[in-house]
Amino acid sequence: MPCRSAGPGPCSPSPSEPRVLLYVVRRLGQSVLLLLAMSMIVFLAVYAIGDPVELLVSPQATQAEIAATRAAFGLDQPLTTQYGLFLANALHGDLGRSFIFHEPALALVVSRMGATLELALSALLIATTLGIALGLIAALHSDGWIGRAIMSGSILGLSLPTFWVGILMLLCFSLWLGWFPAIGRGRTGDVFGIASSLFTLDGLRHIVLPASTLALGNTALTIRLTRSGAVEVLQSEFVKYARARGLAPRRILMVHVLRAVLIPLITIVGIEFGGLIAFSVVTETIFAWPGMGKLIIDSIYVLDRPVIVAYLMVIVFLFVVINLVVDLLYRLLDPRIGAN
Amino acid sequence: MERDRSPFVLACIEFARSPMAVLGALTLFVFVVLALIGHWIAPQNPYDLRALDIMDAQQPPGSSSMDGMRFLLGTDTLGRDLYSAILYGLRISLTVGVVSTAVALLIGAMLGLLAGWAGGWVEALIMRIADLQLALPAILVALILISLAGPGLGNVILALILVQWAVYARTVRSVVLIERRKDYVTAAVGLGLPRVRVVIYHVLPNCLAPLIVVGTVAVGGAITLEATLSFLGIGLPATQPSLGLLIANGFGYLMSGAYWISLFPGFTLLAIIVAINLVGDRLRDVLNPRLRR
Repeated sequence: MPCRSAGPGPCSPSPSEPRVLLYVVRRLGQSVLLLLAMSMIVFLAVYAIGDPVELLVSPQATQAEIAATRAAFGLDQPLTTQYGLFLANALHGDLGRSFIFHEPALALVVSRMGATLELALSALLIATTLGIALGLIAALHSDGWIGRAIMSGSILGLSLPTFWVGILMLLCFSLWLGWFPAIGRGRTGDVFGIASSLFTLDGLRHIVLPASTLALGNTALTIRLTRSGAVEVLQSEFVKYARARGLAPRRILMVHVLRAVLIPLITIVGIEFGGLIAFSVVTETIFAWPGMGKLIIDSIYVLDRPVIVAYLMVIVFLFVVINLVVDLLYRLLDPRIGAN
Repeated sequence: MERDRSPFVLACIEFARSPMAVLGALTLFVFVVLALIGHWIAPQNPYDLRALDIMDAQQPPGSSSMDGMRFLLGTDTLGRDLYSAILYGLRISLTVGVVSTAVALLIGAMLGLLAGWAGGWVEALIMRIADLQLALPAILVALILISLAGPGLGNVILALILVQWAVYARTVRSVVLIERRKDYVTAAVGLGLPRVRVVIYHVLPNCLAPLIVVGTVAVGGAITLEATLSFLGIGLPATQPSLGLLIANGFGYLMSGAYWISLFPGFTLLAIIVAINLVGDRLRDVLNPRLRR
């Protein structure tokens, strides 16, 4: 590589089009490789553990019937051929049929994805707005009792197990106070063909508890990141200058400080979104939220392998897409990243 | 006399300056002792079916059994004394957390040493795999493993090791990269000491401080993750009732008002995790003066 120096200089020209394109192509390539690796792991693990034929034939089947079934499903082929077939089918969106629901596994998982995504998005919204607001307050009053209280609270928020918070929320706000319904998704509303609990009052009442539970850890993290970023920015020259120029403190905070704090936050928020989708497994189980997470737990109980495979492939795919988007967004927002 | 004291004693004195951390350490000590002697001080063996009486089921805290035994924290749906069940669960939760962390630390540290010292493709390979693992949240890695390999004690510990090793590998590698350029290492190598000896006796001790800090907090994380998996019903089997499993067993009865079956194991779990985090936070300040604010 001819130049490894970061920052502007004769050595690093402004990010030109082909370079960005190259980067995108390389990242896309990595993503595809990751998906391939995951499909291999899943394939090997599922087919290494137990013989699927045992699940397909009756216990009284003769050797000839077992052999016939084996041949009918292509299970007598070499492993590489089977994997090729699995991959080809997967690319056509065919990951097998659920043993329990007798539906295509992938369609089943995707049909539950909406509920999970709306939960994760709501949690992300709560965590980001609340986290940034509290983080800024903590930065402004870093020596006062408010700042200390917020920081202590955030430590607690980071160390509390999610499922335990969920149980306490359920107990307090649903069983004892009766403010919110305890389980389920409530009524969903249709907007532009998308069914979501966010579009009805009943649905909104149902989503408050699970979304807040899911948001807790991320709120705490966002508070800490916002505060440490804001404390640094508040001491910087440009903020001092803005103050000296007589800008309103409110404007300095909301425009200048916030902008500087937001860039690193976006990466975290993006990565955390993936974490929220994964962690919704816990929240969905507690609040009986009919999403992907509850589906995978139920499927593990009954060993519904096609659904397990479909869930794993879908969630890894989601992760890859989220990471890709965050990476590209980050480069777009902070041109310094692209210099190397 | 200050300089006569060993670094260990100095660290202890520094540690004790924070009352919260001391409180955390004391709490932790009590829990560890309870976990160790729990089987002797428990009023009953909660998993000996002959000791249970279904007539004692779902008794609220403080009530007495049919034959006069006190249920300090109430009983569950099988008439099991919750205080005894928590003492038994404590041992399982702590054991799983500590064992998995210790194994992960050992594996991670070895791989980190190897990566930092060997460099080249070995380093690239180990660190890329570590990156990949760290890019996925712990719960997802555990979920992938459990859903492919099935629940059970062995697989839970395997999952906990799998989600932890990369952090230690990274920590150790970063220290090794700094240390290997220092004069004492060059001197030791120049003296003709075997490389393995230099790495193990001279470089590794420098990694201990950060490893202790990361490892302490990680035990809390491991206990939480195990409890989460067990709560979801994909962790430990019913024959190894950890705190998470106790909480899960009581969860179904929250609605019917028997709140204590879930709450007391939950608060125990919470106390352990908060105590571990308090200690870990203080250790970070004491052992790494650069981070002190």
